[in-house]
Amino acid sequence: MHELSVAQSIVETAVEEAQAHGASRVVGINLQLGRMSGVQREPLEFGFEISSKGTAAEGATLKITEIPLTIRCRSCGAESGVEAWEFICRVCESGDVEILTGRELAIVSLDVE
Amino acid sequence: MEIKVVRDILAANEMLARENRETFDKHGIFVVDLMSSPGAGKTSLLVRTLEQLTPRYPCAVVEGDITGDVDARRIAEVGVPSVQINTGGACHLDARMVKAALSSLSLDDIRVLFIENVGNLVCPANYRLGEDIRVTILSTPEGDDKLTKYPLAFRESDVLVINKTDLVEGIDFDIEQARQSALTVNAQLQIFQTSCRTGEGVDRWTDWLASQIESGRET
Repeated sequence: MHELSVAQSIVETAVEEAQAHGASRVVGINLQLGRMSGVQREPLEFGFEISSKGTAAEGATLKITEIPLTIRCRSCGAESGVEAWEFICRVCESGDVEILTGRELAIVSLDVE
Repeated sequence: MEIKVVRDILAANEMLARENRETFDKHGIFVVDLMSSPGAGKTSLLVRTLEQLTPRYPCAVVEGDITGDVDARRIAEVGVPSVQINTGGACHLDARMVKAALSSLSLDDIRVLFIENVGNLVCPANYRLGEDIRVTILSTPEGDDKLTKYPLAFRESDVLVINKTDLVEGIDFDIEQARQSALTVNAQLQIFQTSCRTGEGVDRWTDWLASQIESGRET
């Protein structure tokens, strides 16, 4: 359970970016959260509420977009959506695959004022 | 006002991990990150591994625990220098903690550095430390379903060690099933089976590790 420290990083990053853009308050944070980011949504939301208290991001809305897990096969080039325990190409069944999406843990935009 | 930013939350750790990597390369140190749930046998495998490797390579250990120095004392008994990191509650080691610990080691005198992560099958997988290889240990009493329940650690590892194979008779752990599940999560995994109690299978693992140390980097 490292969601609290991840939440703290989100708050720090958001406040830093807001200040860099001359804003005094963060009102919304748009976050991409991959299915296989290793971070759970609920504890992250809870951690954010706690760690934003007393900062310029207090009361900000944390808008989370969950990103599905997709892979690309290095053998046949096919792209497929998979479950986290099945890293097998859906077309040719090769296990030689790379993750395309699903590891995201990133702020993509901020609403500031 | 909306600002477009793309800021990876783990980027700071990735940057420090790269700095650690540069430090290790500069000193010619091969680094192994050991991960598992609590009690799977990280320290036992480490002790067995050090017994085999120390005659050939100068080794050192970074021990990560929430509190205490029980593991570091076990390592000291084998005569290998170690540094204890107490995370003070944090569930994983990160690159910054490892970087800080390196100042307590004589890097010029080390060929192989083992980093024993905090016992946890979830969080450590997200934090690179600058290692050459990542090893995840799964002990048979935990059950063969852990591979599909906690896939991230196994997906992000180079090696799976199935430990406590001496106990397999008394429990419903299907080694073949475990190997199949592991390869479904990560077809590139190197898989070893060990019993740190009897010593069975430890040679095969340490021989492979020695070959990796000789070739310098991961497969």
